[in-house]
Amino acid sequence: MPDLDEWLAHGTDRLLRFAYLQCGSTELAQDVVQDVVVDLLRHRARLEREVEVIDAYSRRAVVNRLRSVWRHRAVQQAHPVPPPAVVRHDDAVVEDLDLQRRLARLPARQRAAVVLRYYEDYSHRDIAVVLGCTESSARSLLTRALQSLRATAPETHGAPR
Amino acid sequence: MTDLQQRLRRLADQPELDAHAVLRAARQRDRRRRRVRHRVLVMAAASVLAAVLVALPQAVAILEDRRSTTGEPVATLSTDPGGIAEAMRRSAERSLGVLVEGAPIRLQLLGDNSEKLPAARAAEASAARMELGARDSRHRWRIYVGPASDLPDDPARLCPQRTTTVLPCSARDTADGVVVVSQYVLRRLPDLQLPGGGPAYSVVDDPRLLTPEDLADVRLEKHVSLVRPSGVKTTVVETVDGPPRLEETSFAATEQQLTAVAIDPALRWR
Repeated sequence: MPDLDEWLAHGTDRLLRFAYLQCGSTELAQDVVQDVVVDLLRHRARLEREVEVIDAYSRRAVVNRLRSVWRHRAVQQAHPVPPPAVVRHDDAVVEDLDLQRRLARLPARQRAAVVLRYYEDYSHRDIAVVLGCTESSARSLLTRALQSLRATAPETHGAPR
Repeated sequence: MTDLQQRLRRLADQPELDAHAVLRAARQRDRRRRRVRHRVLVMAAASVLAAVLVALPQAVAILEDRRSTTGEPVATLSTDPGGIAEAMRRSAERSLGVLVEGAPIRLQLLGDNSEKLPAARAAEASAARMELGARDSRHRWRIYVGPASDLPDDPARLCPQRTTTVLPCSARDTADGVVVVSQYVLRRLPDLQLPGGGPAYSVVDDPRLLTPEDLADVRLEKHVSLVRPSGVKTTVVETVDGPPRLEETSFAATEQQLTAVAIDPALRWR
């Protein structure tokens, strides 16, 4: 089982991208993940006894912190969501921007469920742990999120049910 | 891999996301937090230590009030009024010497409301007052041992409110407690007698207004009190009836002699 430092060395990058997919802002994602890492370091003694929970704990912390930031209008204004940095110039860029816009329209918990399922490959059970709900609620969140994404999509995604 | 998975991975592939920078900043914040926490803990520990160092001498003083340091037996008033009388007499003779040698002694036990108690009710006594000297002699001394009113934060507040520059009063902190030295000028009230039959006196606010002829009806008093942190007070009073002048020289005992009785450890309350 890795210790916290080992987890941070390998897991921070993944956590950062997980945060970015939900907020669409590199600055906000970095700020939020920095807060979460400080929190992990503060609870080092407890977390090192329960390293298996760090994945879920850190993701739940990111989701909650982002929701808190969005609720707090003053902070939201301090982190205006910028347009994504365009580094590629192909059709995929247009598709990605479109996906990001549609993700941004989802409620926060639905968006988190989609990212956890299709970016992190989490099971419904693990999604429920991160979001602090039952497994059936996690399924329901995901179903509604996919319906919303499909409804606004120019074409179907072929996402698994 | 589904289409949605591929798109999310592409979307997450942002080169601007720098995990090393995030980790570095987080670790710096954590180190700063731990430094601040360490400082706060050190300061808190120092504050507690300082508070203990300040409170300890007072606590020791209170504990010491409850035991004699002279080797002499400390009488327990409630069970041994004769013992407290003996302790007062010895203390007075030791400090005032010939001034009280062979002088008549009267002991009065007092209750919670300063009421006089007979010897038979000694168990109810909460204070004791001893008078040394013949009633008709010009100089007499009183020693009081008993509870004091609350010790104020400012020792100066132990001085009477009516004290003027003509009636000096000083209060100073000592290792044993607050020592208060004050003087009073009292004048006999010609048409009034106390219930016991003695003359009544009232405090003169400004003795400068008295004429030499008035001095025959005047009583000059010097009080030296020790108010211990435990709330026990020992007061020694010299009374001069009809003093020739309202000056320090009218007193037979020096302030040091009176203070020696007031701070005598043998007169601690128990």
